[in-house]
Amino acid sequence: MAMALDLLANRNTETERSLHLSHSHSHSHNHRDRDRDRDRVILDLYGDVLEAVVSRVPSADLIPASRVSREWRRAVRSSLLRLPRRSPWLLLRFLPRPSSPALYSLHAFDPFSSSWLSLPLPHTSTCTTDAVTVTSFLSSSSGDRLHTLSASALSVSQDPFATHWRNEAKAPKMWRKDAVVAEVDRWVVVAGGGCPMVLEEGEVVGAVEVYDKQAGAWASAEPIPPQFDGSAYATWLSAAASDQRLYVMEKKTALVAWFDPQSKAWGPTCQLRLDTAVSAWAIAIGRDERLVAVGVGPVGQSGTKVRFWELNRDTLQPVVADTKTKTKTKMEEEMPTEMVQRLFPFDEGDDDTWRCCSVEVCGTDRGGYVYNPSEMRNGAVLYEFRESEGGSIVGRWEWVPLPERVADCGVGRMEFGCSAVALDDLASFSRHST
Amino acid sequence: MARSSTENMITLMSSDGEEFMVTEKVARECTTIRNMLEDDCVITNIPLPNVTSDILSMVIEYCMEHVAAAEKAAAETAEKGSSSAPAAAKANKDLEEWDKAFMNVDVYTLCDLILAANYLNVSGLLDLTIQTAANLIKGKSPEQIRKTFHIQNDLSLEEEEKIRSQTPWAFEKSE
Repeated sequence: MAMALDLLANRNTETERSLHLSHSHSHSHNHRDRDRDRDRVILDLYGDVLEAVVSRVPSADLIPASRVSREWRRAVRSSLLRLPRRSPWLLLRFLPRPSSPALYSLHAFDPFSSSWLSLPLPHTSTCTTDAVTVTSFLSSSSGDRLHTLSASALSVSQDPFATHWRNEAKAPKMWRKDAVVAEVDRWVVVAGGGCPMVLEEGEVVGAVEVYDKQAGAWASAEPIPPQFDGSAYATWLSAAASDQRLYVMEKKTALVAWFDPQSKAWGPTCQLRLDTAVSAWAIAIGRDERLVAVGVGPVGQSGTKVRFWELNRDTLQPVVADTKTKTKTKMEEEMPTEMVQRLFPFDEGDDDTWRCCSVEVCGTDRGGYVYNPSEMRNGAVLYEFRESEGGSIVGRWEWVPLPERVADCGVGRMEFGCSAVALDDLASFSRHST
Repeated sequence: MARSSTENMITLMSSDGEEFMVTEKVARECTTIRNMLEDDCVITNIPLPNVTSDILSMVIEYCMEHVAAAEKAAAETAEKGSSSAPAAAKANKDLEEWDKAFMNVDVYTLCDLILAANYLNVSGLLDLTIQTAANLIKGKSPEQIRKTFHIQNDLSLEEEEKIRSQTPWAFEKSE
């Protein structure tokens, strides 16, 4: 008995420490109509309890919450230390009228609260005056960033929501139409996309140029390896950037290679032979210094499959699971069927034998999003890597539908990107709420 | 509901001295009390100096409703061999509706319930009340949050400026 009460007494003092006594002169308006003192002492939220409350608040609401009082600021800080929100957000750039590419809206999906935010109209870079300007996401190790590339200038946004843009650089020397663009550490890499019709002497379609952000200068590099002949365009290549290299994968053939901007040279080119039934491929950064190859196929009435394989970032070879039985099983994981059906719905009467299929993925080392680039309206599927080494690669799957205001627009072009989002990125557009 | 005559009754006493007789099963919904009962099975009278009678009565109401729902589900499963999925889904939905109606309280009561649920360690109620409080924060400005929760702003203008410019607690980039 004494022991039990001791326990209770200990708990009391603990709780009291976490309570904050304060007077309130407001009345309670309880529908239960119970008797209450008009001028009662209320116990407001404090300590662990307040932290538990703010831990449930959508990320965008953390900025106002942190400005409520000292205690609330402490609670937000402490909640993020305890439960860091590291999963990347899905970014969506939507052009209601593809004929005027400068008029677009940006939307961001918070994987923590599974909700979309529509961002205030983005600042466009200054080089949109050029007639031929491409605005799209580029891959970067910190997440995808919007960039614009015209005949005369290159400009890259500095944050996921494109609120700040870096001073523009001169355009690369060679004119390109459909180049892979990536930001790797202090370099911007522009690869391939050359137009055969307007190539000048010595230029090749797969030429690579590297912009050194510190030196402010462009330099030529080794062109895309000859094995990629005919597919040295962003349309045919899936790209991912780490903080050291750019990785590219041929979407149909699963040919992979990496480029190191420091040495301005390409590493090994590998032909992946993971499964002959896969008809479309894409690549993204994986957990623990790995890559993930995403493959779709076989495609058909019997059930389309979407699978993940882990690759070594140096050798580009599949990672073999470390099992005690010493059987060499590759690290492989299949997307749940209900998610696959969201992205690749199969209509009755569709012909099994003729189906064009493609897949794209964007992600960071924490997770990312898989989507069907030929049917963007199907939304995307979120994956989060499992933190611990185990039988599976992915710990969470979730289908992400388009935000309502985009889904409601009948027409329009869209583009997905993905980036980690920090609290200060959110602060940049919630200034009005002080 | 019929109860076996052997079921133990426990008396819970609120901070203002009111006594509540509940079945052991209902009392066990509070992990704090369950731990005490497991340490000492003859205990029948538990003083709860941190919980007022109005809040305690609500906590008990919540526990009774959830115990009853669980018993009903268990009885149905025993009767049919297995519970039918639609019936279970409906029961869950009913309980969710009940929870929602139960959360129709003012902010003071909500805060008191959170603290009581935390102290008594009623995980379902803690989860429900904390989520309700979090929902109250959504989409509000700092001033609106202060108003909702009756909080004094103790941040100086300078500090507020600092929060705006300073960014040491990014959630991803550090590590």
